Amino acid sequence: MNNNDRPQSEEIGEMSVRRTTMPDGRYLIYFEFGEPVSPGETKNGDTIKSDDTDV
Amino acid sequence: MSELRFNPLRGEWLATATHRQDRTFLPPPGFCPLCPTQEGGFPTEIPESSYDIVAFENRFPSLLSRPPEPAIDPTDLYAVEPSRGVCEVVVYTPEHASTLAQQPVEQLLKLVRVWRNRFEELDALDFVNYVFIFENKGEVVGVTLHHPHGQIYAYPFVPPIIARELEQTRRHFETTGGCLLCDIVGEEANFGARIVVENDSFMAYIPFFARYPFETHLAAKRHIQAFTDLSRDEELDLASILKQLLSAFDRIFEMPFPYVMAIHQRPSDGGPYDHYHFHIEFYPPMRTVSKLKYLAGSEIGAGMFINDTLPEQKAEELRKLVEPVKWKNQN
Repeated sequence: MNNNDRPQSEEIGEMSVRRTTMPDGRYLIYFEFGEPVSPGETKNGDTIKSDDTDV
Repeated sequence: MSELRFNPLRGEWLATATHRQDRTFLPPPGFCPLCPTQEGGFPTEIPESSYDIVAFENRFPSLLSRPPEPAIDPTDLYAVEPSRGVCEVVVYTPEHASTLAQQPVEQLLKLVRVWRNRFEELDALDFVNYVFIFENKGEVVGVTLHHPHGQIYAYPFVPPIIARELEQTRRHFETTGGCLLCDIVGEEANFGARIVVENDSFMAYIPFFARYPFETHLAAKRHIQAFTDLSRDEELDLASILKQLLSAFDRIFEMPFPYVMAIHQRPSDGGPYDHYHFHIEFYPPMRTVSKLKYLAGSEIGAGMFINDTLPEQKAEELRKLVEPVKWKNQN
């Protein structure tokens, strides 16, 4: 079975990467797709609290 | 306590990680550490109330970027090293009661991009020599959390199965001038009966030498070595064929099909690996709806697997269960 059908365009949007640090020092990376969000905010509208930096 | 000990008899490293005995084991509903944290609810590993995909350092790692000194001294015979490396958890979706197979193909494409990102970053670390991306799915393969997720181990050495594949592919290249995986894909294409599904960029097949009834290999048709070599079209095709294959797995016994998924890429030690070839290996332990393929005397003690089935027959069964992929934005 050969499926060569690709979508006309991608619907997932560009990937943005937001790196945070947990209280115990481990990193936690959010990968978000779609429309870019405002600086300092997540897609859910939450305010970014920790030392977030892009990797 | 955590350290790497060398087995001189087999020529391979193993990790001790005694703290992992205390890791979270099949928590009750409402206490999943991989779910988003809800207001007033159990604080999970992920503080936000929703996410697409997240990756984080494992709370119970067997390898650490800043490991403790080994608790035991080496001898002339027994080498010991700090367990330096990275262990990450990759959470595929915020939906707890789901599987990778049940996710829309668009989510698999997101995951392919995340895998590529994690490989690229870990590959660049000077103490990492191999980035191993994998998933354990199902309690029968040892899953301790049901939430859909995979893991990444960034080892300070090339692990033995990869090392053996590297040696075999190097020998084949020196003998024939060709790539072993390219030749395997070519032979499977010519034979046909072991192919499960294929598209322009990838082929999934139950190999001639399958050790498990539904062992399936998914190989790139182009000779590439790692996620970072994938074109945009190949990323789409990988998401597409993963969706088809994993969905077909779930249809075999009409249940979420357990497996170990092992993504095999080139090492990260800067060596010349043009002879190696990107592929993914799936090891489902089930041989019937009620029977598991156990590793026993011959497999564990001598390393020779006994497969109670024929790959050609199992590939036919699986091939019949493959369905087209539906992208949201497809004519």
